[in-house]
Amino acid sequence: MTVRRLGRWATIVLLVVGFVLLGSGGALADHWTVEVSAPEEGALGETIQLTATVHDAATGEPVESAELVFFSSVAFAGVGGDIELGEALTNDLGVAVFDYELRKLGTHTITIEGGDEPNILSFPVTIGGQLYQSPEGINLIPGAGGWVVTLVIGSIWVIMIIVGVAVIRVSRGSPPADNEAEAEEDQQERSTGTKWLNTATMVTAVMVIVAGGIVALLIRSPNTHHNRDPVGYDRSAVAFVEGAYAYPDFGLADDAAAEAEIGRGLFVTFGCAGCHGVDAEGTTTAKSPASASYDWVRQVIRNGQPGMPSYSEQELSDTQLNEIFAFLAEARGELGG
Amino acid sequence: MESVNDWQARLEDTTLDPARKTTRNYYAFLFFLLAVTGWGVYAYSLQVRRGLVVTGMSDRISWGLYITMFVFFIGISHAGTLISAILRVSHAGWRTPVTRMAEFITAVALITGAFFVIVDLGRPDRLINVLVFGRWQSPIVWDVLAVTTYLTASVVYLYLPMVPDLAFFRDRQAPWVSRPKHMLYRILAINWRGTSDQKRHLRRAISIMMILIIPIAVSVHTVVSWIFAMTLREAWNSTIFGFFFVAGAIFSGIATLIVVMAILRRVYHLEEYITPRHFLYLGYLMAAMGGVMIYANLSEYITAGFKFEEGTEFLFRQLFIDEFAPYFWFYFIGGLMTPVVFMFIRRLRTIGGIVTAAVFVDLGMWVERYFIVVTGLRAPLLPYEPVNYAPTWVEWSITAGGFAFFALLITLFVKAFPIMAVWEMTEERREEFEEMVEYEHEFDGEEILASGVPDSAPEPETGGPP
Amino acid sequence: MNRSSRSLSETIRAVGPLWLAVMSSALLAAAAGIRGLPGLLLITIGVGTAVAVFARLRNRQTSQTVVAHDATGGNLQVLLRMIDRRTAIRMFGMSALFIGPMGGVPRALELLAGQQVPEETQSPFSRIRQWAMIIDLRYCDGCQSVGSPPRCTAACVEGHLLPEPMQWIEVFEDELEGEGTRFIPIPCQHCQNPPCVNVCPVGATFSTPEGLVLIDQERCIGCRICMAACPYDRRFFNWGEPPVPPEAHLAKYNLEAQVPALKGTVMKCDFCPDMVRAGTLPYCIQACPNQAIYYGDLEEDIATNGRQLVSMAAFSAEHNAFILKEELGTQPRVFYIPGHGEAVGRVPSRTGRLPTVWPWTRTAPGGDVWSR
Repeated sequence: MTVRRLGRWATIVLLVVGFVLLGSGGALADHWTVEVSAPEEGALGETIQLTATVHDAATGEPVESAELVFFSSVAFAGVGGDIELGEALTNDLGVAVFDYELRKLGTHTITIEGGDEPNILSFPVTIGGQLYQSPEGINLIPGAGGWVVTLVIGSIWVIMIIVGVAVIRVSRGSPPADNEAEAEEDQQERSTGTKWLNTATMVTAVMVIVAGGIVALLIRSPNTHHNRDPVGYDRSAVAFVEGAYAYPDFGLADDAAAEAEIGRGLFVTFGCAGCHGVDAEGTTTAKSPASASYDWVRQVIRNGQPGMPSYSEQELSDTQLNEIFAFLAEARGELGG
Repeated sequence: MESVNDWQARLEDTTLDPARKTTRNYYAFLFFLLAVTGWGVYAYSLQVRRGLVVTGMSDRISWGLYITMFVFFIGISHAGTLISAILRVSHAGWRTPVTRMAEFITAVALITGAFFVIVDLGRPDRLINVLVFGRWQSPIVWDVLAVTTYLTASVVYLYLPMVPDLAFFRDRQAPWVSRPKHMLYRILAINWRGTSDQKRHLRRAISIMMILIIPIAVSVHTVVSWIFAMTLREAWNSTIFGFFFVAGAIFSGIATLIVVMAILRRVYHLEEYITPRHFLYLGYLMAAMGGVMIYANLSEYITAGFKFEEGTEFLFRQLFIDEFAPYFWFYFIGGLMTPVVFMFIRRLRTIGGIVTAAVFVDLGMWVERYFIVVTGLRAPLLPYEPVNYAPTWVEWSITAGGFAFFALLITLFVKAFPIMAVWEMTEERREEFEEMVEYEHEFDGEEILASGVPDSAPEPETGGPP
Repeated sequence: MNRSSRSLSETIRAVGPLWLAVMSSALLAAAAGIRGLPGLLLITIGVGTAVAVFARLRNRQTSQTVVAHDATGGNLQVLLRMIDRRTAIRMFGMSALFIGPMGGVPRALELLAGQQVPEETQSPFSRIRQWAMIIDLRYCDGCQSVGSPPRCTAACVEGHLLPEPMQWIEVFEDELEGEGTRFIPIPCQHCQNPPCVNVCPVGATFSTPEGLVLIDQERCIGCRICMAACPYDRRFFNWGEPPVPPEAHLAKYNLEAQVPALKGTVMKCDFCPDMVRAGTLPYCIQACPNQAIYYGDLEEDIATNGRQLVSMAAFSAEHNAFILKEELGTQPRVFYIPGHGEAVGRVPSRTGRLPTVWPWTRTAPGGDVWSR
């Protein structure tokens, strides 16, 4: 009898504790239901609103001031993962709105954390073009770039050519009729081919040539002020986000290679390359250390050898030593040893 | 009383003299200039071989003496514009005897200045790239265009009024004296016979050029200043720079003209034509420009100093107190105040005084160009210690070579070409006679008139304007 | 009509119709909604020609005058008298002939030469990457904890085989507002309003469609106006024969790597577009022991330091990123997150960094030595 009573009490206590725990548990954000929604699709560059509605799992009441964190799953430069976009708090209706700018074509995968388990939202972006545009710069003001210069210089040269024509006229001035001797000399001068091949025509010709050069310069000049029309970059490919040059392999080399790369630098910095060669290939002064064992390399660096200085731990840390060895190991592969 | 024709004959003789007689001193001077220019050329060849590492410039002070020389010489070139174009337009009769020299200084200074841009290049072998790949948005290309235009215009402007004088040289220098020289004059005189037709066309050409050359000259020095003002350097980021450089250019141009005038006057005995009046007028002009420069300086430094933006303290400290203080105060007191003060004091208002002031102005303006270039670059842009610039012997040699080259061209010019505008001076003389203008009485240089005022009606015109 | 008696006002009246033509064409263009100078010029030429033809027809009756000459050639009035209506018209016509075609010719030539931006850029699927960098100063301690000269600089020097005083990415020590210092690595800022590109006379330095500022050392004439123009002091000149290791001379010149360095030309950080193409991040980012430097793309709004991915916009906004000398309007592509190395345990009072070493300066054959 007492046992049964005890059992009944225990059940009641357990139920109460359970209810209490359940109630408080909801308040501790363990049992929320999060409904998320996003527009069907968006265009590139558009800012869409991601809405998340948070309800208490038990009571169904909206939860106020619940914190939701938004992540986006992406891959870039060979590194894949989630990037944190930001956080949003729910209002008194339990609704949190997050502004999300669409910067990527294709499927967007948004993870929202805050509920019992992450909610995943996925939607496509199919339309849109280049988002980033260079600023207008000097082209904003008509004429500021080159037109003013063209106009001023052009006008000046037109007038100069008029002057040149006037000078030609001077040289072809009519001979004085009253002085026969001079008229004769004048005639002689004309017959010796100075009529057209004289200084006046030369001056004018030079002026026309210089003016032509200036015009050519102005015409050929690329309008590249302010990164507006980046012409002239036909030497190498352009990196498009999608397309021929998407840089598919773009990313950081793995850690060993990175270590070796640092080691390569240290190999030069500490002067090893001076005797052993930049690629640790060995020279007439010293042979290649590439095939040496780790212990041997360590012992030689720390204690030195005839013809080679020693490096203490203060001069060359253990990390650096390891990096140098990583480089040597890499060099061993490259040298085929 | 002397007739106009006698006066003209005397003037022609005086003008022909330098071309006819060559003294031993002339050759000595020529040799000296050639030697200095040659030394400069040697220094430059060294720089071409080894690169700009032979200079004192570095990444942080990347322009130095060469750009200073470029700006200075382009400034000097404004002598011709001001004296011959502005004064011609404003019909100032007294300018005629000195126009030729002024115009020649213009052409020569431009050639010298343009050389220094090439000297400053790290890759002079690629100079052609400016034409092949030139971008018109670049201040350097503006410089190239403007200097080319100005050089062409000033050579034409030098040449046009010289055509009748060249014809006179052609006629007066017998072919057997020097055949190549005679040929030169014959070619350059473009069949000048002094007919009314030719005069009309020539006058027309001169009139167009004298107007045209003023905006060209102003634009040239404006764009020269813009190679500085178009950058984001604190010291150069100024809207007054264009005006400031043009004013400074005219200022130093007048000073150079005074100095050259004084030398040629002494050497070739041109006292009759280049009178104290010319020095006085040019001195007044120089003092006026000095006042403008003082004003421009105050305007620039007070607007900066009042606000005292970040970086201004460093600039002011190095300019007024520390490293560049001697240069600045020499420029301000020696270069700007001297001409003003000298023109106020009667006892200093002599040829000697004016020439002294002009020398000070030239030195001061050179120093100013120097410290504008170097102080602007010296202000650190990021947290690093400012570096210093000290020109090396190579730079000094090339600079000296530049000055020598400038003097050399002038020296050669006076040997070959008429140093005074005989034709214009004669025509004006005739006009004076005709119109009996008597404004000369106010001035000191009365001996010309005293000997020249006709007591009877003017001679019938022989080759004057129709 | 006796031309010598023509006064200044008459001359102005003669030139008047032309002025009227220019002004009315401007109004016409404004009314027709024509924007831009080429259109305006075209209209001006059209109206100007019409006025000129009209004026010429009228002028024919009076042009039989004898030129009576003024005594002096020497003032403005004489000039204006000389520029009679016919001359003025001729000058105007010639100017129009000369200047007019200039409007169309450059564009026409560009079209003929096919110098346009490639067609693909218009397609939505060919968006061009816009490279940028974020440097997180909270993680930069000037390599004090590593006990070496800044690794980014060293890696850059060794990767690009740089001559002695060049540090394309240079770690400066900057005074903090309060006490102590911070370290700030400064590479070329790759401005979008690049002062250096704007002033280059030969287009040797240029912006790429990807937003990088590169230099063609085979075109550079060494005028150094870009060095005067750069407000970040990030341009370096090869004053003499550059001291580089022998292997540099074996490389075929490539403007994206700027190897080998050429005497008398300007060099600077290029954001390693060749490395990126080869599939690795720039040297400085790979070498940074604290992963303080991010390389990213503004077009897709994403960046990485090799370990971690961030959204450029969110990351910059969250950590109050700044750009250098914002007030200059150069619009740099390098963003900084404020800090002084606190995330890697550096205290601001600990100052000083080890100087950068150029391993080959002494051994470089025929190299000159100069200082910064």
